[in-house]
Amino acid sequence: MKIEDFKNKNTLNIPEDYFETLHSKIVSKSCNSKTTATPKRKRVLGWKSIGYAASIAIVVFIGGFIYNSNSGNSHEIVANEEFYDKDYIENMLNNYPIDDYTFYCYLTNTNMN
Amino acid sequence: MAESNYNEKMITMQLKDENLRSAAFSIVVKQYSQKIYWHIRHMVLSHEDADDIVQDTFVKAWANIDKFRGDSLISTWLYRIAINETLNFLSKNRISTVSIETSEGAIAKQLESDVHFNGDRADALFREAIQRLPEKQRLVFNMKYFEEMKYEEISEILDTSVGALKASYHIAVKKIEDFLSNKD
Repeated sequence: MKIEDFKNKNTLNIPEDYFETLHSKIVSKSCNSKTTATPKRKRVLGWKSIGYAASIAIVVFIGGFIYNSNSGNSHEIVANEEFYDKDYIENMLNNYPIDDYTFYCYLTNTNMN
Repeated sequence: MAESNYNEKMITMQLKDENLRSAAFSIVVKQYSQKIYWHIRHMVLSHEDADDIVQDTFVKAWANIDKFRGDSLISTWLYRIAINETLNFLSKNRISTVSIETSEGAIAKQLESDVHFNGDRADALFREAIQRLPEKQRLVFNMKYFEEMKYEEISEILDTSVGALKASYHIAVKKIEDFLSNKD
């Protein structure tokens, strides 16, 4: 047998009117469905956007925490500065009779007893 | 039947226009559905399988219509989708390559019992010989022998050199003739 012997033999059949129905089946299946580009346009937030938002939220949270920690220290510094305020000390020296030892204890915050 | 006044350039432009796209695609289906169906049918043999795959091919083409830039012919693009769909189908159904263990004549016997096959024993054996070819060789053989495509067209679709296609076709012919000569 040579392969040319089979060349013009149509041995594979199709049902009657198959191609007429195939066209309408394909068109109704495809043209009624959306193309891939359409849903992409409708997407408002993607996973990347959510990731960026989460990263920003973490940075803001950590930044706020550090800021608050620093703010707490600054209050202590202010309090100490008030404690060693020059005007306050001069006022004490001029108006209240205190000896050198009492003044030393006051400045060093030590117990006089 | 295919449209006699089919204009490839015009249809390609209309496919890019959202308002004209559906009508243009309907013309494309009318123009190419038969060719694509027969291409698939020669690969899978079963009408029911070919029917499913040809529909999936056009549905996928429509879903990805935005990616078609018109760099290639519409037919080339459709053939590529059809080939991918067919090879995926064969792979999933594990009938892509006929194993050595499959007894000779088994495929022919199965084909003879198919209501959509009207050939004799020799025709069935010829189809079996083709089914025993590796997928790529089978594609090349079918496109050249049944669809009478030029090597240049096949080269464009399969992205393979003309020389390699000629070699592949001649090897396929030799294998089929060897298989058939053992059945004489």
